[in-house]
Amino acid sequence: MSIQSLQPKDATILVVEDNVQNFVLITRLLAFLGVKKCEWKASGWQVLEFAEAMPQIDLILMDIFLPEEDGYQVLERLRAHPRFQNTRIIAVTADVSAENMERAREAGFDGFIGKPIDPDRFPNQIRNILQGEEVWDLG
Amino acid sequence: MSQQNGNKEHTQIPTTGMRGGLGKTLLTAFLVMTIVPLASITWYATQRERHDIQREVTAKLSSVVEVMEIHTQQWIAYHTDELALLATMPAWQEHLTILVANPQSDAASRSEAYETFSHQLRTLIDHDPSFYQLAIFDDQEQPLISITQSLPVNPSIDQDACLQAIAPGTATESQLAIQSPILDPEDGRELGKVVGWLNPCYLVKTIASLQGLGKTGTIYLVDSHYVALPWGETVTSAGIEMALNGINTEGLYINYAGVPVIGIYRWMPELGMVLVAEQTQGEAFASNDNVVAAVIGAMLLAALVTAVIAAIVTRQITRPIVLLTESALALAQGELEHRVPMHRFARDEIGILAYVFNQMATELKSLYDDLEEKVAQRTALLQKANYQIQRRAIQLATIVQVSQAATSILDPEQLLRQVVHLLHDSFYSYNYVGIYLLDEKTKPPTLLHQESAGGREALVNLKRQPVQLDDETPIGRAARTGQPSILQWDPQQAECLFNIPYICAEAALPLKIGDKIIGVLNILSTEEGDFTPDDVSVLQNVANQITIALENARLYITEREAARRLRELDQSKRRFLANMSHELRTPLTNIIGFSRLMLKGLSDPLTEQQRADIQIIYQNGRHLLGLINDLLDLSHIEAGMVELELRTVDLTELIHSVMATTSALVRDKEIELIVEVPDDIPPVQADPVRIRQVLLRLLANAAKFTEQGAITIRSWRSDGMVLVSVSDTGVGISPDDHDRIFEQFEQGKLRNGRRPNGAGLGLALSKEFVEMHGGRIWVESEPGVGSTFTFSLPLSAPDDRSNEGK
Repeated sequence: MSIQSLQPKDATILVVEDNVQNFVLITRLLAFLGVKKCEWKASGWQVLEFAEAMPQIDLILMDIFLPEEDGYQVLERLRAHPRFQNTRIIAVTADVSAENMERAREAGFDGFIGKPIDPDRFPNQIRNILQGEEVWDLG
Repeated sequence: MSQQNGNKEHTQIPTTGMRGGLGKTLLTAFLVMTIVPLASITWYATQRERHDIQREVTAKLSSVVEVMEIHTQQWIAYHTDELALLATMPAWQEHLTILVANPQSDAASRSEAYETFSHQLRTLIDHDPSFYQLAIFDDQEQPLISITQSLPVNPSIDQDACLQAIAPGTATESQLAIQSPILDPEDGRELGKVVGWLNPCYLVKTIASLQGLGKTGTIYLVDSHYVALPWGETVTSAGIEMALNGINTEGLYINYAGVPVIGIYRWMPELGMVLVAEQTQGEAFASNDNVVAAVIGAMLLAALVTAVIAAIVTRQITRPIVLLTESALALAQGELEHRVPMHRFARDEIGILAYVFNQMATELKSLYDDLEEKVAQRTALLQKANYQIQRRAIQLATIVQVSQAATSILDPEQLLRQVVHLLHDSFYSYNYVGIYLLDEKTKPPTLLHQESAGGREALVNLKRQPVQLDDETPIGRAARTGQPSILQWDPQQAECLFNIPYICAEAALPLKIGDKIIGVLNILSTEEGDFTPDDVSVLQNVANQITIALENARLYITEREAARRLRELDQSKRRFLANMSHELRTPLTNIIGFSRLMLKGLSDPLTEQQRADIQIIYQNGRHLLGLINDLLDLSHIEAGMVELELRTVDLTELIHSVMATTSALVRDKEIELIVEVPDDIPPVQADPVRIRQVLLRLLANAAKFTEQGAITIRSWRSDGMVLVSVSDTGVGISPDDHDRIFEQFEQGKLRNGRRPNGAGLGLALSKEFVEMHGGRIWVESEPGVGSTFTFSLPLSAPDDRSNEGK
């Protein structure tokens, strides 16, 4: 999938994460990167509807272990929607193993970042993703 | 019977009586007996007679011939003498002298002499008709006077023909020319000769007067020109031929006319002719021939008579034999009641034979009857045996079917149902078949009825009752003792109890494995004496099959259960680990994340003290993460859930790539990093991530335990393996700990005795990873000098330990 490379300042990112502190961490790092627009969904419930309501989404960072529906189910729903078929969706999850990364790849994720997030690398990872690179990192 | 008329087919009835061999033989014998001697004697006799006749005839002829000979000789001799005497006559001498010796004699004297001579010759010839011709020859062999006979000897004789024989004239060679020289009286000198030719016809006359020749006997002369006297024709035959050659012969010849004769052929030198005396054989043997004819006639008559007699005799003999034969034939064709009628037989050998024959027939019949009975008995036995065999065959087939059911049906209920119906249907005498299984749960254990086939409602209801082990029924006994239990029922009693007629026997066979009894197979049979030991062993076999099948079914279920539970366990383990992983990492994200955030200045500025303190938090957070990772890795490995992702790995490259991290580790120490890795290390099949982990672990350890000196990484190839070693000049490890350090949670000690950071999982994990690749890891170390950790990786793909995670 080829999406024009974005600058962090122009990107709108949706973070689907149920742990509040994790979310804050991610947001702080994104802000450091220069991302201005950031949305948050704390569960797998009605993510699609939430996403639909957003005018623009350039990147979705999604945890796998979510209440209600898990990351894979949400991914399926999103990918079924014509708008989000090609949207960058990265798995950001503590479920770190080679199999899971492979599973994520096969499910249709465009990337994988393992938790704990390395604050040193995370900003660069995001930048690269926004520029169209794929990041598959177990952490 | 070889005497019977040649019959080649066995079905054809042999001929008897006159047509048959016996009659023919007898007839032939009789005829032969009659005719042969007669014929041979006759033959002999006639031959001898013929011989005698021939001799007689020959003798007769011979005597005739001799007479003839003598006569002839005498005739010639007489006339020879006569001429000789006349030749001595002085008158003749005188006359001849005049005519021959005296040339000057005158004509008158000559003619006178001539005349006188002629008259005298004429007188002689008239006087003696035997002379045909007389002649005077001079001394020069010239004829002077010749006088010929004028009288025929016999008007019936052809004189001309005869005379041809003597060829008169100058031919003085003829035997019938008699010569006598006339001599001069004075000097004895021959003046000439007188020659007289005898008339052979005279002989013929003589011949004709001969007696004793019989009707057909002839006697004739044949001269050297084959002219026969008296006929004057030329004749020839073998006998004549021989005689003309000077061989006198006699015997049976064919004469000149082709008629068989007895003949004598005699050469008469005086005549120069052959004298033949012949008599036809026909005449000679006439009597003999008559005799032969008579005898032949007699023989024929005798043959006829013989044949008739033979027929009668044969009939006499063969009739009883025929009777016997016919009876024998009847017997042979199966009419065992047939007997020979004794009244038709004489009291002779044949009679005895007939009597014995009847005996034999009787005996045969009784044997046959006996045999029939025996055969019937044997057949019955055979049928019974056959039935047994069939039964056995059915039993065995049933065993096969039961075992088929046993191996194919896994549901115990269905299996039992199938088996009881199988048994019930295969054996028509098994009226009821039922199975009980032991229920351990009840106290005391009871046999509960499971499935059955056959029987009527009342029986089935009865059988459905549970059976206690101490019951005295066959079922109870079988369950108690573990041995088959058979009971022979009185059908009437059985009928009262079971409400089925004809029940004769009951069998209960235990279903058991080893010593454990799990049930009983129960059968009711309507056949008397059923459940022989053979039957029982067969049925026990079936019972065993059932038992095995039930056990199998049970095992199958148990195993399925076990497998299911294992799977569940596995799944729950996975879930647990996944959860653990998640639960531990999420807060750690925050600890490491936020502390790092603060250290990076993304929060409010920090004082030195704050920075230092937060640094501690960050470092511990990272440490904790390392521990958690190691722990989870180990757990994964122990749960068998780790798979190696094998790739072709260039070790040289990998080693070089970890050097960056390594140099960071030794940054604040005086340690030199040495890399001795050749470029020609062959690639290995390995999981690069894991090997990297191992390398990093070893290097980190080296860095941790070394204050100063050098850390050297080497790699080389040896024996189908690639070896990598990390050497340091650190505190070293005492030999006691060489193995221990690879165990979980074990650590070495630093020089200052402090325990270093780290839970001690690293080496254990490295060992696991290396061994999963099929390699080895070990340490060589001397305390105070340093340590060298070496691990090996095989060049070919590691073994299936990599699939443990499946």
